[in-house]
Amino acid sequence: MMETAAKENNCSGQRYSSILLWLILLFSPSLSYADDPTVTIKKTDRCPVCGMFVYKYPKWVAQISFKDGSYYFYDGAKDMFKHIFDTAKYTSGKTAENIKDIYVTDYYEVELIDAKSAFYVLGSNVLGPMGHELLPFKDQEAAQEFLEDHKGKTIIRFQEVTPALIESLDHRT
Amino acid sequence: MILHPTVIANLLAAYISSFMVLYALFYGVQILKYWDIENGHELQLVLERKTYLISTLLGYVFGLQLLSLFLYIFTADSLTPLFVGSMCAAGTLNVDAFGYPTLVLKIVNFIVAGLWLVLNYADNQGYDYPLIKKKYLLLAIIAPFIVLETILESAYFLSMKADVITSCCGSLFSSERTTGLGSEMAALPALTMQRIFYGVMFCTLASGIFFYIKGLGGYFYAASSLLMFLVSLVSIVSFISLYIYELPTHHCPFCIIMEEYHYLGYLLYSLLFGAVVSGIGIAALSPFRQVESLKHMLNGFIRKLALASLILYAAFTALVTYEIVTSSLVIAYEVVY
Repeated sequence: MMETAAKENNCSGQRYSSILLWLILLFSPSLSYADDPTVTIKKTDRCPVCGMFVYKYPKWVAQISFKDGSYYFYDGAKDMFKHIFDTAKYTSGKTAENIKDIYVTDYYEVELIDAKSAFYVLGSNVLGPMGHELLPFKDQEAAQEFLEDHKGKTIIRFQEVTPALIESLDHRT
Repeated sequence: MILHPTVIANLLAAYISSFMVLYALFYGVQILKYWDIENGHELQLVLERKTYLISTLLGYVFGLQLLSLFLYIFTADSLTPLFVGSMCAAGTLNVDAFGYPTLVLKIVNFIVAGLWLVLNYADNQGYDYPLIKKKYLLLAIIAPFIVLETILESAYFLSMKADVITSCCGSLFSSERTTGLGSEMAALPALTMQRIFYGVMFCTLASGIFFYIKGLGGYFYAASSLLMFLVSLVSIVSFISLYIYELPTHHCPFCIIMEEYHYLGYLLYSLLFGAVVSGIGIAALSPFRQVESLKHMLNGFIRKLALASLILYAAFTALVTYEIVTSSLVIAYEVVY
């Protein structure tokens, strides 16, 4: 009898611990990966620059999160840069200095990567939802491979992107 | 050409309209030339019989013409995914040189076709075909525009190529562009435009109510309703769109027809077009108030048109005001984007 009771106690103890484990598992991602980009795109999320619904173009999503907790999605790196270069115009009261994280979608891996460390291919024959784009890659090799496969012209880094370059993308035919 | 069901529907509607209008015009010209109600000549009897067929036929054709404006916009919107850079009808209409001219012509034809229907309804109320020559004269004026619209629409759809990079409405209706009517409207100061909209709307509604009660100032109301229509179109681009999208820089008049905005644009434009057609209809019918066979009904019909126009403009204003009040966007100071 004692043995059975002990076994029962043990069982219920195991059950509680497994429930606890489940609870930990359930809530842990939001705690341990708090700094990860918010990838849940709602159907109502729009690019603040062009007004496009971003969920339609998941492969091209870029994201900026601000220090105040707000975040915005874009339908391509081009519009994201437009927002960075003129933050107050598209989101009044916000400045580029308040930007916390910037993410772009790696064209090959289709996952969000840090925009500042990404490699951008220009002049390729691949068009984004907004026409000519900067195609982001997480490493130089992938960017180079894409450049060769898709008649790209140059590979540039985040710091090299200028407002004039973004404007030139809009005027390419 | 892109073989899309909506494109085929548009072209079919356009060809049917043009063919029927030309057929009607053939008899219309004979009516204009030989119509004489006092005469019992054989040709007169033929024309009298034909006019029933033609006016019924034109009733349907112009009804189709009214619907075709919305079908055209719907088509442009549904072809959006086929063109790089396009996110709504604005980009699709920009894929070649004929998209926007067709749209303008469709808007003009919507109004004149609506006027013809108003005139036709009044004419059918009189026993002696009182407005027959007027309505066929109007048909003769409208017909070239309908045919021109069909030609432009065909050119638009036939020269469509899927590999074209078009402009997004975000840049077409943006003050960043230096040219284009869209950007000029977008560049208008939103707060000032808002005041103008409500000011002109107040005058229009006041003059309409005055006309409805006193029966005076019909022409003035018709002119104000046309002015109000134009002011409203500019207002949609200038500030109404901003409140609906809740984005300070997005001025597009086409995105509002999308599913994501609950097709609100269709409702807004239906109210607006209905209001202007019934408003101008007052001026079109007013000269005939003394016609003997129409005396008993025309004043009543004109008052009904005024009431319809007033209700539609009031509903439009109420809807716009609701969108402004419930929007999370606040235009607190004048910044032009």
